[in-house]
Parts: sequence; structure tokens; C-alpha cells
Amino acid sequence: MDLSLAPHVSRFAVALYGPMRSGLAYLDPGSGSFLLQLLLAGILGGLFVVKMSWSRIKGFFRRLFTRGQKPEEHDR
Amino acid sequence: MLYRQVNRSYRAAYDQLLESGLYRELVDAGEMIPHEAVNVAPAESSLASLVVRPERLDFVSYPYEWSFAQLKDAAALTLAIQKRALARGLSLKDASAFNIQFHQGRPLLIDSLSFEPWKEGEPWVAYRQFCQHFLAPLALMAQVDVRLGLLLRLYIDGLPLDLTSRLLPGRTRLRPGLLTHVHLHAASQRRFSGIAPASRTTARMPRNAFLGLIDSLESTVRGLAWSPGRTEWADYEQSHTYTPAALEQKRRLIEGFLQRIRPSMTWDLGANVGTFSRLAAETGSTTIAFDLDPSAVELHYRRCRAEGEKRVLPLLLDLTNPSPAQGWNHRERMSLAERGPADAVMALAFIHHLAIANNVPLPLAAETLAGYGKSLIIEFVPKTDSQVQRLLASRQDIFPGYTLEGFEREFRQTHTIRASERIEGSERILFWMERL
Repeated sequence: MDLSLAPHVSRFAVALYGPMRSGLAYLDPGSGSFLLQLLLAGILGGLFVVKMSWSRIKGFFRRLFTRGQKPEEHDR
Repeated sequence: MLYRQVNRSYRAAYDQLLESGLYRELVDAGEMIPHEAVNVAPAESSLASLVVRPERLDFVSYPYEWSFAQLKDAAALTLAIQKRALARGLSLKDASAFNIQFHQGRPLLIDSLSFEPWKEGEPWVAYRQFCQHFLAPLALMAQVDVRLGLLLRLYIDGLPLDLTSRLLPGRTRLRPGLLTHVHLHAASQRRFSGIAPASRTTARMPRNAFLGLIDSLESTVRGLAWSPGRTEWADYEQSHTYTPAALEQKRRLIEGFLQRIRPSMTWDLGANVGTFSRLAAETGSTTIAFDLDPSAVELHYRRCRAEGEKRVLPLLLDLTNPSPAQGWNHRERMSLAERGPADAVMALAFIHHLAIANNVPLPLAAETLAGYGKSLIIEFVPKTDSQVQRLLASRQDIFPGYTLEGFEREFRQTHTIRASERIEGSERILFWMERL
């Protein structure tokens, strides 16, 4: 892959976005992607905590019933 | 040789990649390409802090050349890397599918400079890119039609989410992952497109929410599935016209040619599910196995993955309309021809598809194949062959020049014929040629 292009492309990107950034910030297409995450933060965080607790509870019982065997590994 | 420049503005993030142990962890896990710092004058010395040289790839492929499972594996790898990064205080600032390459049978992150320190409270800056590059095409391929993956060739920064949302069937709104990351995401982009970033700084993204986002993306990707139907091509391996003895002879002939050519890079054109690609790989050649049928490429990739095949890379490609040079000034993505030439090209049971099904004149076929590779292993399939008869059944025979003599005459304009042999029990002839 020809990454000697990178300086040219980045110079282009700077010319296009760099100096004008503050002035044209309202055109940032990422606003919606940012705000969606913040809007959903509560739900995403809540579901994640529930999921992790549930897998811990499952893990506890699995260990209880399969004592002596090596406990199964979890993703997290 | 490929070098990358680390600018002073990025140096702190780069140092953290190394000091946190993330670089070592990812390289050891085979998930990221290794690089080394080198003593080379930087291209833009006023900005530079360091120059690194990543390990060289054998071949660069693009997401619009991948099958469903390849794109899905690349998506899963991106998220797995993001989880490893978060555990060490870093986060991916890019989630571009172009940052993943298939190397020795596995997807691999090739951009070791795409990490930045993550500060709790910040949303994922690459969320939009991940959805556009991975989730949107995977959802369309799984839920509508696998051929929609080719939209990635049109939209090289990933599929617009509003378009994806419109193309997906209404029932996908009942799936929480697709509802959130595609439909609501598209609506949110529409709704907030005029809002300045300043107004979004008050809300925060706690760590659990960030982990929840990655976890949700992971299960959404995992939940997308596509099964190749038994298409005509994919069935071909079982239903070809060869007797077992003829097939064995064809295999031996190809093996013999390959052993004399000793290629390190082979392109197998019309590889189907890779029966003969394997022969090239067995001689030690990296082999790119192209086919235009998404089902064949999918089955071939799954087989390579299951068998741990490291030398074969199945890719989706229509030789009558190969990947062009794309992006800014045609220089961001290479055309197929720019990625060649290979040492050897195999075109087995292929020429009749070019010449008869697609009207490519033999001189043009010869010239193009000469451009793709130095050595050529090509099978001539005459008009009397049942496969050609099938192609001719529904159309007028306007190919008076499509004969063995015509084929040899035209290919001699660009190649020297080194060997040729009839495959017993058929009228097909296998040639080994070298380009002039």
C-alpha cells in the first residue's frame, strides 16, 4: 500500500477541515453519532451492568454444581 | 518499502500504545501487524517525531472484495481490539474496514497508529465509522441481499446510514441492535446535523455505557447471518464434467507446471471453491482465489478458515469489471492491475466464460492475462465441450474464431507456449505459457 500518499491526503484534509473547523463546526456530520451515544448512555450502561451481573450469577451456580472441574472461562 | 511517519502531535498516544502493553498484546495475539521504528529521514521532517516500518503484506484486498464472513470477521476483530484497548486506557479513533487486511488466513489490523488515550466521559469517535463500514453492509447483506455488499465499492467511507435504514426491511426495527445502531442512528444524524459540538459537552459517557456500546455492537454483528445457497457455481465442484481419472490428471498436470514455475504469488481466476488454488498454495505460493459468485467465495473462505489455510485468500471479483483505482485522485484504493502482476495466473475452465459468455475477444483476453501475471496456466475449453454447449444453447454462435487454432494463434501474440497437454477423456487442453 502506498502510504507516501498519507502526507498529501492529510494536507488536503487539513486544508479542507483544519482552519475552518470552528467556523463550520455546525456541519460536523458526526454530531448525530455523538449525541445518540450520549442519549443512550444510560440504557447501554444499565443493560451492560445487568448482563455482567447475570453472567456472574450464572458463573457462581455453574461453579457450585461443577465443583472440582475447571470453571468455564467468561468473556469478561 | 512502506514507511509511516509518527508526527509530534501524535507521539504521546503512540508512546502510550507501547507503554500500556497494548502493542505487544495485539501483536502477540496475531491481531495487529507488527512494525519497527527505523532510522529513515521522514517525508515531512518539520512535523515528524518518528518513522516506523510495518511488516509487509503479501496482498492488499478491500472490503468490497470480501465475502460476508470475511467482513463479519473483520468487524468482530475491530470490536475485540477495541475491548483490549479500553482495558488499557486507549480507544480506536478509526474503525475503518480498510484498516483490516487478511494476512496468512486471518484478519489483521494494519493501522498501528489508530489508537488514542480514552478519557472517561467521551463517546466513541469511531462509532459512526464502525456502523458505516461494517454494520450497515453486513445488515444489508444478511437481511436483504448479499450482493449489496458491493455498495462498499461506491461508498468508500462506508454506507450512509440513512440509505441503509431505507433499504432495510421494516422488520429489522424489531431487532434492538439494528434499531439502535442503524435506524435510530440515521434518525439521530438527521435530527442533530445542525447542532454544534459545543452543546454536546455537558452529557457524559460513563465507562459502563461505553463498554455496553461495544458489547451491543458485538452482539448485533454476531446476530447477523447469511448462508450461501447452493448456486450453480458452488455446486460446480460436485458436478463438473470430469471423470475422477481426468480430474486426477488435470491436478497432476497443474502441479507439474507449478513446480516448474515456482511462483510466490499466484492469482487463480474463477477459482470457485478453490480446488486448484490449493495446489498452488501447496507449492508454497500465496494464492489469491478470485470468483464472482458470493456463495463460492463464502464457502471457500469458510473452508480455509476451518482448515487453518494460511496461503489462500478467497476474494470476490468480476474479471469483466475488476476493482478500479478509487478515492481521492484515484490514489486511495488500488485497481486490481496495480496490485499485480502475479508470478503465475491460473485460468482453469475460465476462458469460455470470458470469450463466449462475456464476448471478450481472444486477443484482449490474452493481453489482459499477460498483464496480470508472468506465467499463465490456462485451460482451453472447445466449443464441443458440454459446458460451452450450454453457454451457446441460448444464443447465436458469433464466435467463429473460438477454436483451438484461433486460441493458440492469439495467445502466441503475447505469450510463448511452454507446454500443452490434452486432458484425457475430455477435449480440453491445458497450457503452460510465459508472457513475452
